Amino acid sequence: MAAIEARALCKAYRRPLRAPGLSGSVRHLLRPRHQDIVAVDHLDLSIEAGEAVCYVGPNGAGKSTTIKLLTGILRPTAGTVRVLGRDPHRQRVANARDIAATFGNRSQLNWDLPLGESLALLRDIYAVPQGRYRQHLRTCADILGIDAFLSAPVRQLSLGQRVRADLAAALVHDPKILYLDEPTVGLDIAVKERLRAFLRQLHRERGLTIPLTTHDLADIEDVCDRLVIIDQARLLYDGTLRQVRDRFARERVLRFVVRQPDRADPAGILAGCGPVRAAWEGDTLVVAFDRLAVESPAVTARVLRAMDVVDFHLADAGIADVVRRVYERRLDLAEEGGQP
Amino acid sequence: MRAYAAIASRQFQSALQYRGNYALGMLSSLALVLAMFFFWHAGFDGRSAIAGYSWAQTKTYLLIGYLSANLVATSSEARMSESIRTGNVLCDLLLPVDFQGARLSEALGSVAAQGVPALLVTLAVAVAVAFSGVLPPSGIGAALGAAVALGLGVVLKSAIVYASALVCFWTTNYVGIAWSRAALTNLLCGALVPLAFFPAGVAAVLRWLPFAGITDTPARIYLGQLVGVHAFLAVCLEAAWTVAVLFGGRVLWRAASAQVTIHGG
Repeated sequence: MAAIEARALCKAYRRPLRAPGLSGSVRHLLRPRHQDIVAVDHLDLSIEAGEAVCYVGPNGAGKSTTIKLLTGILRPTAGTVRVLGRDPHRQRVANARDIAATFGNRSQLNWDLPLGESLALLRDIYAVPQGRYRQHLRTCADILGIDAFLSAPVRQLSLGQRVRADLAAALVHDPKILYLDEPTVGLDIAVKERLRAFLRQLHRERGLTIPLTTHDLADIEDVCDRLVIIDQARLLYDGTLRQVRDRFARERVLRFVVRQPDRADPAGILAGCGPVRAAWEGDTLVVAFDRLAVESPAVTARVLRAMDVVDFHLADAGIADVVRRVYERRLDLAEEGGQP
Repeated sequence: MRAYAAIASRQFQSALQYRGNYALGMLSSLALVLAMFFFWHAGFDGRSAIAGYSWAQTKTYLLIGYLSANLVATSSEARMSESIRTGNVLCDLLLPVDFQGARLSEALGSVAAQGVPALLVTLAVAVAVAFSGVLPPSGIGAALGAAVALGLGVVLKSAIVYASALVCFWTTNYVGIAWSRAALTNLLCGALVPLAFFPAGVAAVLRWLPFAGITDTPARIYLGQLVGVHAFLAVCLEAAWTVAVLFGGRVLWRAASAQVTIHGG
């Protein structure tokens, strides 16, 4: 059985409908009207133990709501969720022992206490043995560097320190599932790298199941092996990163900087390579093709033979391009056979 | 149990972080108790008794009322409502502890940190300055009974505060709720006006309500107005209300937790 199983999961909430201005506010006070907003619409999702799944979608797509439904914080309007065989909302306390979650813009640490005290409180709440707890602190010191600010009150930590501290707090009880809601939002590059390295290690070495939402597409390629895209409360795509790359991110672009270019039509030299598009940009010859249909060495060899190339550069379309095209509604993954 | 003890003790620690707040809290309780004294002192001008209470009995009753009102730090209410309003409550919901149990542990942690020491100091000053002539308990039994009733009252009031803070899940505004709750509790429990001063019929009804257990019951046991079986039954009623309000809080929580919506990440 899957570690996380959602079936026809729905969450709707009410939003007050208020006409603008004072009169609108008064009218709303006398006769309130509401509109039902659907945040999650019939979501089917199944995550196996040990999977790292990235959950992406534009702002307001329903990502965070889904995470909150899976953690048991919110009760579904309809549909079912099972996490490790339990209903996470009804059996919230039992479920909480096996999972952990961090939310990029919130902290579960006690604002007034030194970080060390906050972590010790979690140790007591989860009844973690002292030896295991010390081991955990050492790991977090080594990889996240939290030892440097263990005695500082949480309210004095920088964002980067706080996010690392929150991750250390989430893992005190050695959870089986770690939900991450925008774990790298607002962090500098060095901290991001550190965080991703830690997540990779947790995933590969400890076999932690990690569902994560993000807007930073490097999080996906670095940590996850599966991609779920949602928009407007609905699932648009669910498949492995490899599938996405092979299906939708096949364009490769080679750029050759040429000494004294003649800017002649390159079609002649490239004949026989397969379907390529080539054009001059100043003194650079740009060749684009499907990397599965055309062999890059063949293209390169022909260009090098025909011209005096001083430099060249290769770029593949990445997950970022695919996601961007989906957001912009230029690519429908389901229509192109994306739904496995 | 260890988890709840840990929560209470961390709340105690975090309340100690703010020295200024602490001192200010003591100052404002002192001002309040003095104001109450002068108010009722004027009321007794030219009279020897109101509704059968002498000035000394009234002073004693009010002092017990003041004690009961300040033992439960209402900061726990503000903290809880604030976390519901901002959505930080989701972090509380990630912990493997009962929500009500955790909030009551926090409230008791605050009592230990703020209620008790602030009260001891304030009481010492207040007794020395204004409340000279406060009556001793009417007997050892009365002292013990009053202590039990007062302790039970702390739990009862915390349970009332918890239930009223939960209403924030529907209104997302807590100031109005907290003020109404405080005004209602303090008026109906006797902390502002001894219940005996209300018209007889009203007083009789108020003594059946949960609020009386907070102040009126311990004060009357202390003064020897409730003795023997009557005192025992009054404490039983208070205990029954405590259980009922705690249970009501759980029912309310079940409804509230279906209501939770946390927006914006």
